[in-house]
Amino acid sequence: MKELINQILNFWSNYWGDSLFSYLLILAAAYLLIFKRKEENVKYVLTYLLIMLFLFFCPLTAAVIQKCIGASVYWRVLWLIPSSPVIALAMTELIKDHQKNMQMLLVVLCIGIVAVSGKEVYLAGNYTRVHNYQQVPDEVAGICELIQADAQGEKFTFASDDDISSYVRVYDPSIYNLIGRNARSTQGRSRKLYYEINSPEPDYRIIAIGGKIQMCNYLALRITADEQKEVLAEAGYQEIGSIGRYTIFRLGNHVTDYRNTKILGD
Amino acid sequence: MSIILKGILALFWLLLVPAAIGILFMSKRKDICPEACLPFGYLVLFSLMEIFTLPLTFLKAPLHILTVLYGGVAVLLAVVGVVSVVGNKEKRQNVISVQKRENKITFYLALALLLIICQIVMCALLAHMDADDSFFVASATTDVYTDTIFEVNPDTGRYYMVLPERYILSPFPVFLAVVSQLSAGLHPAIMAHVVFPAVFLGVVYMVQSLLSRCWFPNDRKARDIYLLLVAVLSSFSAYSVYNAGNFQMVRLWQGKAILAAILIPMLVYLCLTIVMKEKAEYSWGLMLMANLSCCLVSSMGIILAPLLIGSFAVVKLIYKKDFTCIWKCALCCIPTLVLGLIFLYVL
Repeated sequence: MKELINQILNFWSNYWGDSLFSYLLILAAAYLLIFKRKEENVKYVLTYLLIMLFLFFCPLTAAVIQKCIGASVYWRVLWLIPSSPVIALAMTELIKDHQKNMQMLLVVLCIGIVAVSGKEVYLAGNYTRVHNYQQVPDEVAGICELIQADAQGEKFTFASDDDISSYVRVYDPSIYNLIGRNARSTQGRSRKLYYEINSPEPDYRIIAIGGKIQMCNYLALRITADEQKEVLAEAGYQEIGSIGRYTIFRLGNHVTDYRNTKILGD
Repeated sequence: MSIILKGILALFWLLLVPAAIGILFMSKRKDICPEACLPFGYLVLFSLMEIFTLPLTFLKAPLHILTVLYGGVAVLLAVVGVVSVVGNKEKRQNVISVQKRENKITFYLALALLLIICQIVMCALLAHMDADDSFFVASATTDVYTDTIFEVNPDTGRYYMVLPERYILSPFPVFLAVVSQLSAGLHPAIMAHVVFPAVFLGVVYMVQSLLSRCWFPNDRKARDIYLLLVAVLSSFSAYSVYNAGNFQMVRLWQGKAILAAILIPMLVYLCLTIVMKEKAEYSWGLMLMANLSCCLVSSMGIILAPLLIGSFAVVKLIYKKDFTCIWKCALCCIPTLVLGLIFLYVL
């Protein structure tokens, strides 16, 4: 029980991060409760808010809901709390009945309070510029284009780390990804290859041998020393180019030299 | 076909068709809310998608069958919606009078619109990298490429050995695949990363605008201030990766973000205007469709929507001692029950 309560409190605190929005919500609800409780819709939404908070914090209901949606994503129940509408509603109620100039001053003040309480989405580094319409990392687009040009229309298998393989099939679904994101769709040798490629210090010999055994036609890897290329070359992987931080290797002289018929079906 | 033409087609399927369908729900109302058309249209389209996709997935039907079926029914409903306005003098006059009444742009509305447009430009033109795309977007690209529905694993490109039970009951990636197909094959990743945020951010604020009508029914200026503040709150929502505002601003192409940013506020609006009223302002069918839509976009929606509706039913019990709304609310949650049974006994 104590563990569950701690978990619920953790979810609550993680949800609001280091912002003051949770306090804004409490202040907004208190303001509406004191001054606007007679307005029907305000009354209803505040009661709903209380019910949702009860459902979220009560260990009994939390346990039931967690059984249904999974404990790790229990924080999503907080989506049901209409925090932005309640905060905006209270602020608007505070502003709306004042005269024009005062009203404008209060609007600016409220925007300032929100700005200080939260974190701006763009400045938080959520967005980047890319140079492909699909809006995947440019390295992914470049790697896909390079390999497709090399494969000349033939089907092939490919492996890289999570930074690349998570987006490869978003950009080009014709590519057979030997190891998907988090290895969730792989097992046995592929899984071993996944862990080696994504290891902070990969053993290139294991990658080269593992890739060859599974007839992985192309590998995109971060190369930090020439010896790594030599190890890959010993297993038959030839460098065909590099895109950004990645060097791309093909197994054999041509994509058709090695065929994983189990995956490619030909 | 050039990418611009594909983009125009996408806007036809994502703006005109849903808006025309949404008009159907305005027939009973004299005070038409123009901003309700698009969200209501989406409730219909999302429900249709859920109803069509589930059986076709189990039948292993090709994607193009679903595309034709969905496109055909959507256009048919849109035509009915347009005809219902054009062919009805009273409704036509209502629309004209609403246009005259609503087209004044106040200072605060102008500020709100400016901020919303900035958000749309930012979300559509800049990229946010989210590894969850390896399932949600790759499912759509895979379905389009293989002309299948949930038969091929988007992680690897190999056929599924067993159906992905966690996802097939909420096939929002299939919606993305179908709309991409209908837009002359616009790449699903472009549709998801560029077109969806632009369209759905608009829908987010339409729903907020509807909510503002509940708070301030007779005060246009207050509604505009409210909209501005909601937009500002969204702009400053990067304080955690968990909150609904952050989902809205950085990955609105994923079903769970649509659940958090559009459908849950929409359900609150519907509860205030349907459940809490003596005489419902809209049809209870909309409530049912909102629940179905939640089921389409996320498996989380299957549980969260009934939780929300149930809570409002309790609110009504507290204030109005009205027990009749309980069974109506329960009926609206039937999709959850059906999907729960499918999950337990079929998958």
